[in-house]
Amino acid sequence: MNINSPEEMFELGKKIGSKLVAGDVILLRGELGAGKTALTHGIGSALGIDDVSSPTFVISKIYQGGRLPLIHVDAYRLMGSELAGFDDLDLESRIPASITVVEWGDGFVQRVADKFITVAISFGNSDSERIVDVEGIDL
Amino acid sequence: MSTPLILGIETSCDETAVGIVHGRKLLANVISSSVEEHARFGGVVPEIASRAHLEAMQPVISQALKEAKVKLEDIDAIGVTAGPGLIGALLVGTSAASGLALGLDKPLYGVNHLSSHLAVDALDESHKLGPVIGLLVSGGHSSIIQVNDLAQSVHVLGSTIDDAAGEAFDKIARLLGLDFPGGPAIDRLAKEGDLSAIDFPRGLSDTDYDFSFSGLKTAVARYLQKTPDAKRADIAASFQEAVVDVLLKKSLSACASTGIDTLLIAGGVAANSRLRELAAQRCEQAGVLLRTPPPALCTDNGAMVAAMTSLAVSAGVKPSHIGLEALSTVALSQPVWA
Amino acid sequence: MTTILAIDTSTDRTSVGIAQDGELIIELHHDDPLGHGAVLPGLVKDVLARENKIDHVAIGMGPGPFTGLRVGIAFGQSFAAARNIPWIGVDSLAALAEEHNDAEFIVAIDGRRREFFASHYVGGKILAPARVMQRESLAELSIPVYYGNPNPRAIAELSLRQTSVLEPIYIRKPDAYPAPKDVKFRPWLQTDLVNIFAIEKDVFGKEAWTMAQLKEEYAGKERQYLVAEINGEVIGYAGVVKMGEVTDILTLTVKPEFRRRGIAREFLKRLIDWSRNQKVEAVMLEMRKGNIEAEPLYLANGFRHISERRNYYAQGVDAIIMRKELI
Repeated sequence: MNINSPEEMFELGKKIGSKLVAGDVILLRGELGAGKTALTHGIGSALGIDDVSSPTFVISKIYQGGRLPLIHVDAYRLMGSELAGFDDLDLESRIPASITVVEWGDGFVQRVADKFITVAISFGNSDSERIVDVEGIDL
Repeated sequence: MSTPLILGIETSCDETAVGIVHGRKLLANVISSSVEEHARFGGVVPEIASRAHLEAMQPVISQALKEAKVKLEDIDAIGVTAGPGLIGALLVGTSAASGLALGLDKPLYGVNHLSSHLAVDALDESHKLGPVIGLLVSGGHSSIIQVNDLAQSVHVLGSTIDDAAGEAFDKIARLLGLDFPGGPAIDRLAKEGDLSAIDFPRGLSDTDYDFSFSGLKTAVARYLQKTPDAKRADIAASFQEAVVDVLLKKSLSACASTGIDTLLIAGGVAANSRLRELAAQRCEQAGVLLRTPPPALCTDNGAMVAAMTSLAVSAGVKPSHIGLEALSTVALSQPVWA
Repeated sequence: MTTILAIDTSTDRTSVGIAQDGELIIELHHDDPLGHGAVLPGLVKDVLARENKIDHVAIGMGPGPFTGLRVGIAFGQSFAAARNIPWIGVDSLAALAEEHNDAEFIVAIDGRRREFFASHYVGGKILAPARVMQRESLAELSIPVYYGNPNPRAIAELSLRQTSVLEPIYIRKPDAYPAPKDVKFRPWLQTDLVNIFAIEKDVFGKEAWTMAQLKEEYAGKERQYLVAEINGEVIGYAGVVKMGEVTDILTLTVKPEFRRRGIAREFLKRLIDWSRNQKVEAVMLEMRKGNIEAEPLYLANGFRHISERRNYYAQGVDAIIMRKELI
C-alpha cells in the first residue's frame, strides 16, 4: 500500500496495533529514514502507549502500562557482532506475553520466533512517499 | 546526614561505572568504557551488555574504592541507576547494588538515570542548588526538564518524539561514513565546514518543548543523495547547527516562560563544542546563567548516580525497598523510587 | 563449623539457602523466568534473618540462561565483597548431578530455543564437559535424563569440595553452535567435482559453473573449498579465495532438500575462520538481490550491504555486494 505522510504511517501503525495479540512478533524492514519508528509509534498508540521513541541507542525498550507490554528493539547495533548480544535481550522469555517489534531484525527474529509478521517499508517516487508491504496479518 | 559518603553504580547501557562522593565532593569516578571496542567492531562488542557489565562490575567497584581511599564499610548508602535503560544491563547494576547494600546493611537508593545526569551539577560545590531548567541531551534522551528540587521535584516539559539528539548524530555520522560514536566525529568534521551552507529543517518548531529529529535526518539523507559531491564538512556543520539551534531555542524559551534563569545542559551531547559555544552566546544575550558539567561527567558515569543519591539522602528521601525493580522505560516523575 | 550462603539463579527458579555442616538450616525459592532481579535480594534478606553470620558465599555459575545468571552472580560477588568474605563459584549442572546416583544419567538445564545444557555422568563421574543438546536428542536417549533446579544444599556442598569456578559457565559460545547432526565437513577432492557439477546444474541451471571452471578452481591457489557430506553423499559446498587485502566467498550452496539445518551457517563460519587466518581486512561476497533465504544469514554474521551491480548474474538479475570487516 502507499503511504504519503508521517501521519498516515502513524495511522497504519495504529491499525496494525489494534489487531495484534500477545505473542505477536513484527519484523520491521526499511532503510534509515523509512519510517519504522513512526510506524511503531502508531502501534504503541493502539496499545495505549504514547511515548514510543527510538531504541537505536539502547537497543531495546520495554513499555509497560499499555494493553500489553511493548518491546521495541533496534538490532542495528547488534549486526556485525556475535549473536550472544541478541540473546542477551531475553526476548524468548518476554515475547509470549508482549508485542514485540524488531527493526533491523533480519537474522535475529528467526532465532526467537517461528512465525512473525513482516512489514517492509521502501521509498516511493516522491520524498514523502513510502510503499508498505504487510505480511502475516489481515488488515 | 548532610555529607553522606555514597557509592553510586551506573549500568544502564554501555558503560559499567562507579562513582564515590562525599556530600557534594567527588572522590572517585571510574568507567569501564566499551567505547574503544565499539569503534573497532562498528557496533556493540561481542558478548556485550550484561556479560561485559558482569565482568567489569567488581573490578570497577574496587578501583573506585581505591581511588577514593575509602572502604566499603565506610559507605553510608548505595545508589544505583534502576532505569531507564537496557533491562539486562540495568539488572547487573541493581543486583550488584543490592548485594552491597544487604551485605553492608546500608540503605539502597534506586535512582532515575535522567535525574542523575542533572544531579551531576551538584558536584561543583561553588554552585548554589536551586531551580534550574535542565536540557538533557544524550544518545538515548533529549528532554527539557524543570527542576524545582533535584531530589524530590522534577517535571518533564518536553522530550523527543523520535530520535534523541545523540542518535541523530550517530545516524548522520553513519550516512557520512564516519566512525562510531557519531557525536565527536561530527563535532570534529564540522569544524572544517560552513554551518550556514545548508538550511536543514528544525523539527517541530511549532510545539513548545518537544523535539523531533527524524525529519532532519531524512533531509540530510536526501541532500546527500541529490548532491553526492557536497562537502561532507559542510553537511556535518549544517546538520549540527540545526540540532544545536533547536535545542537551545526551546530550552531558553522554557527559561523565559518559567522565569527560571539558570540553564543546565547535561548528557553526552553536552560535550559538543558547538552546543557549548552557542549556549554561552545565547545565554549571555538572554541573561540566563549557563551551567555545563565537565565533559567527563556528561557521558554516562557513576559519579552522577552517587551525586543524585547524596542529594536524596541529604533531603531525607526514603530509600528504595529491598525488591528494587529495574525498569527499561520510566517516567521522570520520581528521581528515586520504591 | 562453616556457614555458607548458597545462591543459584541458573534456571527459572531463584534459589537461596544457608547451609551448615552439610545441611540446609533454611531454604527459600521463587519460580519466575524473569523475576530473579526483584526477588533475590528479598529471599537473601529473609534467610539472613535466620542466620546472619556467613563465612562464604557459594554461587551457581551456570550453565543457564544469562537472564537469571547475571543476577545471582552480580549479587553474590557484591555481597561477599561487602562482608569481606570469599565467594566460591559452583557448576550448577554439577550441583544438579549431586541429587542422583544412577550408574549412568544425564542432567540438563533448559537453555531455551529447544536446547538444553547437559552433562553426562557415568559411575558418579562426569564423562565429558557439558554441552548443548537438542531437546529431540535428549528425548531419544535410553538413559535417565534429569531436569530440575540446582539445590542450594548441593551448591554449598560443592563449594567446599571443588575449586572455585571463577567465570560464568557459557557453553553455547556464539561461534561454536552445535554443528548440524550427522553432517561431515571436509576439504574437497577431485572426485567431488562431478557431484558438485550436478548440484550446480540443478540449483543454478543456465548460470551453473561449468566443469572447466570447477577444475580451474580446483587447481587454483590461495583458496579454500569445503564440502558437506551426509552418509557419504555430497549435499553442499562452499569456497573462498584470497584476493589482496580481502577474501571473496565465491560460492555457498546447499541442496534444497538439506537446507534450514545449519549447514550454510557452518560453512560460513568455516570460511570466515579461514579468512581470519589469511590476515585479511574483510570478507566479501556477492549475493542475488532479493535472495531472502541467504540474506538473514549474512546480515546476522556481520555482513553489510556495500553496493549493487546491475545485471551481474544475468539480464535483470542484480547482485548485492556485501562485506564483513575482520579488523
